[in-house]
Amino acid sequence: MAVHADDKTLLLEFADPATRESAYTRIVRKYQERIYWHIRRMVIHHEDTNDVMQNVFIKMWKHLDGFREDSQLFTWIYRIATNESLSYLEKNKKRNSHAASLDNELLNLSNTIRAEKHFDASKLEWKLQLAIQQLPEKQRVVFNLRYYEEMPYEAMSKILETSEGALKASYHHAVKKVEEYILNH
Amino acid sequence: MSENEPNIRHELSELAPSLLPALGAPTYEVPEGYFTSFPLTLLKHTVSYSSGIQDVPSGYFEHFADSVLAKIKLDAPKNLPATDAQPLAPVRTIASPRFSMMRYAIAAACTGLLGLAVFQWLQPGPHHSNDPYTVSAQQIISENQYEEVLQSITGDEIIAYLESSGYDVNAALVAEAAMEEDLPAPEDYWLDDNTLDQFLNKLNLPEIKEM
Repeated sequence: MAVHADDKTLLLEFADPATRESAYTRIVRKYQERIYWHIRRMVIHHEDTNDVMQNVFIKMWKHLDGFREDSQLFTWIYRIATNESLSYLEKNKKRNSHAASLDNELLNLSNTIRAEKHFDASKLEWKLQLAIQQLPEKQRVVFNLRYYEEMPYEAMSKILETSEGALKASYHHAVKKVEEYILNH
Repeated sequence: MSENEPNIRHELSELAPSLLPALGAPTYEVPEGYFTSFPLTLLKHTVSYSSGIQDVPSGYFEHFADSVLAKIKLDAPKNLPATDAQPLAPVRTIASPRFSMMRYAIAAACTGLLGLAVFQWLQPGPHHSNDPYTVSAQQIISENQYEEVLQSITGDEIIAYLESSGYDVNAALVAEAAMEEDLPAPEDYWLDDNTLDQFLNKLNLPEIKEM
């Protein structure tokens, strides 16, 4: 497993024009997998995920100079990734709005999951994926961060700028809905 | 964040124990090598973005002229010079400019005759198959020779046609040639009688000078 430098060092190197590009590449390497999965679980399709990934890290390049070090770098990148994923889904919805209802939108995401190479409708992990798509978008973010990334509510609260109590409640609702879906399918 | 794992598992076991077995199970597939190549691909985008440089494939400008010429050769080999050794000079491709408009005018007349012939041919009743227009039209239609017929009309034939049709050939030639040049401004020829003579000289119409 690769050993990554701490964020403070990377940020100092990024501030220096001589080491800017190498520092940027190291930051991307450090966070890319976590950010990828965070986005992928939202937009499902790899190509869409790749588009959002590029937007996220290009934004990071443009705004990293103005990054305030009073928050953690990973919190900041996660916030960008969450906002970019939600915007992407919103744009997709608008693009298809004349033809698509909410039901069609869910159907699209479910069909994308069913088209995955190793999809197996009888396996719990795939049922879980289908169940997650039934959740409202923000609840889906909370569920994914907690269930898959095992993120503490405190960190989640900083990313989503929502109180810990509200996040706990949201996660509990989400878990119940997911469980109900799985039991009925 | 493994230190939080027991807490999350505990929370899940209380909330929905049926979801516990799916924790950590792989689902979606990522293309091989994606995470290795992504930072480099990204860096190319961001550096070209911030420097304002857009990517041009390597060697694009060196080979651009050759690739265009090769395409021209492929599309229209008969329009090229006989040998490649001939020096290529800037060429303005004008196929008998003075007669181009008239060629089309006559072609339109011919087309009219063709149309008439076709119309007559389609009418019920006996066809005048010996009519020269009908014979000619049938041949052009059957052999799909429109372009060749159009190109085969010479300048002399155009002049002969104009004369036989009662057109003022000189006026037609001047009008045709004038389309290629900027006309003098009215105030110029009102104030100077020589303006129009100079303009006609500039058009370089030997047929008119000879008259």
